[in-house]
Amino acid sequence: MYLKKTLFAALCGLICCANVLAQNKITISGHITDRKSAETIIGATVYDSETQRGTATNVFGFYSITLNAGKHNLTYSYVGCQPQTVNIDAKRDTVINISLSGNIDIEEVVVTAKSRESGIESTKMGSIDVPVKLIQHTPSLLGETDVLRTIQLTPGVQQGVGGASTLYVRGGNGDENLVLLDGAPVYKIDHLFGFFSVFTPEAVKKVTFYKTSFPARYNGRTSSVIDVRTKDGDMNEYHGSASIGLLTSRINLEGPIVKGKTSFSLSGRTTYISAITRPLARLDDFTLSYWFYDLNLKVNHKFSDNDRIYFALYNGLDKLYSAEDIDDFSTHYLDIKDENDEFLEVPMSYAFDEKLQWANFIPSLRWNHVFSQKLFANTTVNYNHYKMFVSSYDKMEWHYQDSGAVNFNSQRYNSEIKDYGATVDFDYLPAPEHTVKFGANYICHDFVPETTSSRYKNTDEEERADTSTFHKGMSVMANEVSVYADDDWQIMPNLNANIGLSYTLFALKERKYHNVQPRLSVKYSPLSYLSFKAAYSRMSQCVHLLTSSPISLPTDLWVPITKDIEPETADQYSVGTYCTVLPGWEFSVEAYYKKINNVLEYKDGMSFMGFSSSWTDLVAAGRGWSKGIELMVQKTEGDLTGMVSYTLSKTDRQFDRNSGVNDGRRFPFSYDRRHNFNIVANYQLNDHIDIDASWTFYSGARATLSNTRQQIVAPDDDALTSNYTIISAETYSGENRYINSHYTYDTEYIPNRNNYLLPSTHLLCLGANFHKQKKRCERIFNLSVYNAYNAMNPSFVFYFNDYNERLDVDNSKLEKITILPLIPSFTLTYKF
Amino acid sequence: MKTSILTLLAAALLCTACVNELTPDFSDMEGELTINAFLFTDRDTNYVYVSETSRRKPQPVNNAKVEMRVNDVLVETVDRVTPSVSREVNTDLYGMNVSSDTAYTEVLNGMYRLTTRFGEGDVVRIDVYSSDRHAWAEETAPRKIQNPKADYKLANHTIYEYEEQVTHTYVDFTVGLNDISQNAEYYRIAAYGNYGYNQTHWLKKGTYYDEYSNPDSICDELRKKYELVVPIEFTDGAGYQGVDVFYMCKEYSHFWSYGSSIDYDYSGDPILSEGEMAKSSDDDTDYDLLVSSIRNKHKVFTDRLFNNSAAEIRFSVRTPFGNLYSPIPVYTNSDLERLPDDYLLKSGTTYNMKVKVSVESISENQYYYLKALNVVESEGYEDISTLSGALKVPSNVNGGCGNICLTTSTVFEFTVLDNFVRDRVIEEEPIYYWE
Repeated sequence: MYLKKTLFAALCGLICCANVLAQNKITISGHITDRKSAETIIGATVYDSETQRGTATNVFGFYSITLNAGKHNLTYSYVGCQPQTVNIDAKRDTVINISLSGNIDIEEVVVTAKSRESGIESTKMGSIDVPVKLIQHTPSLLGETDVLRTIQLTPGVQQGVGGASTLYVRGGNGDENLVLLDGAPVYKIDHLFGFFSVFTPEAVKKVTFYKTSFPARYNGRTSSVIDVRTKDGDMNEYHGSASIGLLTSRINLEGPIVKGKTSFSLSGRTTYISAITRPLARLDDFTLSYWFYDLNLKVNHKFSDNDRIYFALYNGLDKLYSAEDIDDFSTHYLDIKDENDEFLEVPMSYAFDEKLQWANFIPSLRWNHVFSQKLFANTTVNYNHYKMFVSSYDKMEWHYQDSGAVNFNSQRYNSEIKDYGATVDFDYLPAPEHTVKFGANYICHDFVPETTSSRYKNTDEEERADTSTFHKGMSVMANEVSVYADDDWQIMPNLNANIGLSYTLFALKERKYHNVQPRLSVKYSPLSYLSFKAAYSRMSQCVHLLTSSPISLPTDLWVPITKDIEPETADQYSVGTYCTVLPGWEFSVEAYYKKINNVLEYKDGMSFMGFSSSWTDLVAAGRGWSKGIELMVQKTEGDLTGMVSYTLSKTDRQFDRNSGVNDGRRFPFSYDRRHNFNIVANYQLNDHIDIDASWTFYSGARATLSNTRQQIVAPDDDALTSNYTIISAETYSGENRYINSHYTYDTEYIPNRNNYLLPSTHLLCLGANFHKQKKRCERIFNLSVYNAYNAMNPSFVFYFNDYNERLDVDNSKLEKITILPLIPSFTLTYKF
Repeated sequence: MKTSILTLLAAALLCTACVNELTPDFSDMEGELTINAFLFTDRDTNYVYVSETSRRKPQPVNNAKVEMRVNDVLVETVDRVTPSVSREVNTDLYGMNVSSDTAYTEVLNGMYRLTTRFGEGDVVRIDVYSSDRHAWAEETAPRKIQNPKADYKLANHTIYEYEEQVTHTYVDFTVGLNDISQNAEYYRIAAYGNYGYNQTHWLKKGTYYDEYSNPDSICDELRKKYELVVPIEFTDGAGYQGVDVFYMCKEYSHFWSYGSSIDYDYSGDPILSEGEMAKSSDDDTDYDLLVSSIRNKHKVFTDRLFNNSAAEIRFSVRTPFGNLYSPIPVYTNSDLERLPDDYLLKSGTTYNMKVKVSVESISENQYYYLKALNVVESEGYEDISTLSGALKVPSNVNGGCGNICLTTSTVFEFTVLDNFVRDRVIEEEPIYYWE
C-alpha cells in the first residue's frame, strides 16, 4: 500500500513540476502519415534546427514537441521518405499534421532520420529497429522471410537448433522473450516445430527489438522484447501483393473502406507442404498431412484528428493430421463365428484418424485519443487464446445378415491459455526536456493445462458398452497488474536520461508477488556523431514454458509461477558507445553484464513428463550470469547496405548444492557460444536486380554427453520381465527376504551438465531478387540458397554406445545430424 | 500420433538431413567410484554396491573398504565382498542360470554386507575407500509413518485391452497414511506378490505329456501323485470290452514369488500418478512423443497433495488369473465324457495369492533418484535423450557418483486368495493339448 502511494505521489509530482516548467512554452503536435497511403508512420522524426531539439512519432504516428514561443524551423523525416521542412512562427499551441512522400533514394534521407527508440539518437541502449525492408532482404530458409530469423542476425542473439526461430538473448532461455503483436503477447510464435515464425512479413509495419534499456511499459519477460506492429491499411488506394513459394503462398490486400476515414489491411499465408509431400506420406489408405495458416486483419477508423480506433485480429492455426480409412467392404474382412461356431469372413470397414492442432486467436480493440497537444492516450482491450489439442479416433464396423457391430474409441487431450487484457498508455510531453510515458496494464490469465476425455462404445450384442471419461486439468487463474512511468529527460543539450519505474503485482490464489523494476539509461553526446550510454534495467518473469526438447513442440506448456517458485528476475548493466562519424555508417559497441535470479532448470534426471501438475517438484531455481561485448557496424546508404556484427559472450548457471542440479557446480549454459559473427549485405545491382547475402558463424554450443557408464541399482520392480541382472542374495537370509532384492544395470554417466563443446556452426545464405515492372503490377522473382556451401553444421549430436562385451569390440561413435544442408528455393511475388 | 510425428520428422530428415561422425575427446571421463545402496532402518542386513564408472561397462570393485557411521560414530567396517550365501540357492535366483562358481561370484561382485541396525532419524554416513579414492554420502533416515493402514478387496475391472473389452479380477488396495510433518516428505508404496495355483485334471492311462516319452511309464510314474483313480468299463464299436483307468493329476505351479515387486495400476489416484495423464488401457506404450507420460514405475510420491494431513491412496493389483468370478470351463473329450459329472467337476484350479504392501518413507534423494529411473527405464527415454541429451542421474555421493538411499518401512501382508475355487462348468470341448 505504501508503495502504491509513493508511486502515485511521484507520478503526480512529476506531472505538476513539468506543468510549472512549461508555462512559457508552446506545443506543436500532430500525426505524421505516408502521403500515398495515409498510413501513420512509426518513428518518424521531428527536428527543430533552431533549438536542436527533436522528437519522434509514437507507435500510432503521433508526435508532440514543446518549444519556446517564436520562430522555428521544423524538419519532418523518415527513412525512405522525402524530408519536409516547415517554418513556423508559433505563438500558441499548434497542430501540424504532415504527410511524407516516399519512393526516393535512400541516400537522400537518412541523416536526420534516426529513430528515437534506437541508435545514436535514442537515450536507450540495446534496442534495434528492424526495418521491414531488412526482413524482406535477409536471405531466408525456403524463401520464407522471417522476422525472428532476421533478429537472430543481430548481436547478442543466439539461435538454438540450426534453422529454428527460437531466440536466446544475452544468455536468457528461449521462453524469456516477450513477443507482442500489436501490443498483445503471443504465446506460440512459430509453425512447423519452430522453423517458421507466425509473423507474415507482408502484414508487418514495424518491428522493434529490445534486449536492454527496456521501456518501462514492457514487463513480463527477462531477456528481450519484440514489439511487432502490423499495417493499418491504405486510406486512399487499394493495393496488395501475392506471393507463391516452395512451401507457402501469401496474399496481402489493403485499401480504404471509406476514403480518408476507414481502411483495412488483410494478410494471409498458408502452406501446401502436404500437397508436396503427399506422394511420400500417402500409402494405400493411409494419409499424413500438415497444414498451417496465418490471418491478419486490421481495420481502423479515423473519427477526427483526435480520435481513432483500430480493430486487429490475428488467427493462426497448425494442423497435423493422419488417417486411415478402409471403407471398402469388399477388400477387408473380419473373422467371426457363426451360430455353429464356424469361422466366417465378414466384410468390415475400419477408420482411424489422429489430429494435432494448435492455434492462436488474438483480437484486440484500441482507441487513440489526443486529450491535448501534450497528452496522447491509447487504450487497448484484448483477448488472447492459445489452444492445443491432440485427438485420436478409431472405428470398426461390420455387418452380417441381421447382426453387426460398431466399435468406436476416441480420445482427446487439450491445453489452453486465455488472457483477458486491458491497457491504457499515456504519452505526456509537459516540457521540451521531458517526454513522459505512463500507464497501467491488467491481464487476467486463465491457464487450463491437460484436459483429457475419452469414449469407448461397442454395439456388439454380447459386449455392449458405452463408457466415457473426462478429466479437466486444474485451472490456474492469475491476475497481473502493472503500472509504469518513464521520463525521457534532456538534462542538458548533450546529456539525456531515461528514468523509469515499473511495478507489477502477480496475484495467485495462494500468494501475491510484488515486483518493482527500475530502469535507467543515460546518454552523453560530446559530439553530434558520438554518444556514450550506460543503462541499468531490471525485468521480472512470472510465466515459464515447460519443454524438454530443443525444438518447439506444441505440447510445450506455459505455466505460471506458484507459491513455491518465485518470479525470475534479471538485472542488467550495460555501457556502450555509438558513432556516426561517416555519413551512412553507424558503429556501436556495447558491453553488458546480466545477473539472473531464480532462473529455472530441471533437476538432474528430471524432464518435462508431459504433465504440469507437479512441475514445481521437477525444477530448481538458481542463478545465471551472462556477460559480453557486442560490436556492430551498419551501412544504411548507397547501393551496398548491410551490417556486420560480432559478439563475445559467456553465460553460466549455478544452483545450490542441495538443489539437485549438477551437484551445485557451476556449468555453462546450453547456448554459451563464445563467438558469434554475422554479416548481412544487400547490393542493388541495378533497378531490376538486387542481391542479398548473409554469413553467420557461431562457435559451438554445449551438449550433455557421455561415453562413460555407471552402475545403477534399483528396487526390484518388474524384474522378471527385464533383462537386468537381478541381485537377490538376501532372499535367503531371513524373514525380510522379499525386500532386499534389487536389479542392476548400467547407463550413461554424466559428471557435468553441458560438458561437451559442439563443433562450430557457419552458414552462408544467398538470395537474389529480380524485379520487373509489368503493365499493372510489379513482378519480383526471388531465388534463395540456404546454406550455400553445404556446411555440415550440428543440429543434434548423438552418442551411440555399441560395446560388445563378449567380443570386447567397441563400435561406439558420436554422430552429428545436420538437418538443413544446402536448400535452394524460389518465391514469385506480384505487387499490384 | 507419435508415429505420425516421427513419420513426418523422418520424412523431413530423410529429405534433408546428413549424418557425420565426430571424434570426441572424453579423456576426463574415466573411473569414478560409484556407491549405491538401499538401506532400511531396523534391518539386520543391508547391502552396499561399489563399482567404478568405465568407458565400456562399469566394473564392480571388490577390494574396497566400506565404513558405516551412525550419528558420527564408526559402527562397522567391511573390507571384502560379502557373499556368505549358500551355493544351493543358485537355482532359485530368479531366472538366472547361475551354474558355476564363477558366474555366481560375478553376481555378487561389488556387494558389501552391513549388519549394523540403525533407526529413524539416525544420520548414516557411508565411506568407501578404494585404491587412492574416497567417496562418501550422508543421509538422515526418514521418520516412520505413524499408524499407516492398508486394506484390500477383490473386484472385477472391465478394461479395454488389445482392442477388446475384457474383465479381470483385481485386488483393490487402500492405504491410509498421515504425513509426517509440515516439511516436504517423500514416500513410496511397493507391493510384492506371491502367486500360485493348484491344478487338477484327469489323465487316462496310456496318455502322455510329451511325444518323446514312453506313455505307459510316464503314466505309471505320475500315478504316484494321483489321489483319485477311476476305472471306467467300456465297449467299443467292435464289441471289445475293456477298462480305461483315469487318474486325477495334481500339479502345483508357483510362478512368482515375493522377490519381485508388482507393477501395480495406480491410474486414477492423484497422489501416485502425480498428474500423469490417464491413458487408454489399450495403449501398451508408456510414452508418447507429444503427450509424453512417463509412468511412475518405482511408485514414489511426495506429500504435495496432503501436506501435514492424511491421505488415502488407492491402487490395484491385477491377479494373473483373469476373471475369477466367471465359471471356468471343464472341458471333456471323447474319453472323459465317460467320467461322471461329479468326477469331472473335481477338475480345475484353485488359486493362491499373497501380497505384501510396503509403505515407505524415503529420503529426498531417493525420490529424485527413482524418479529419474522412471525416465531412464521408460520406453521413451531414447527419444528424450535423442532430442535433449542424456539425463544426468542425480547423485548424493561426494567424490564419486551413485546414491545412498535410506528407507523406513511398514509392511502389511495379505492373503488375498487362499485356495480360491472358481465355479466350474462342464463344456463339451475337445482338450486339444491331450491329443
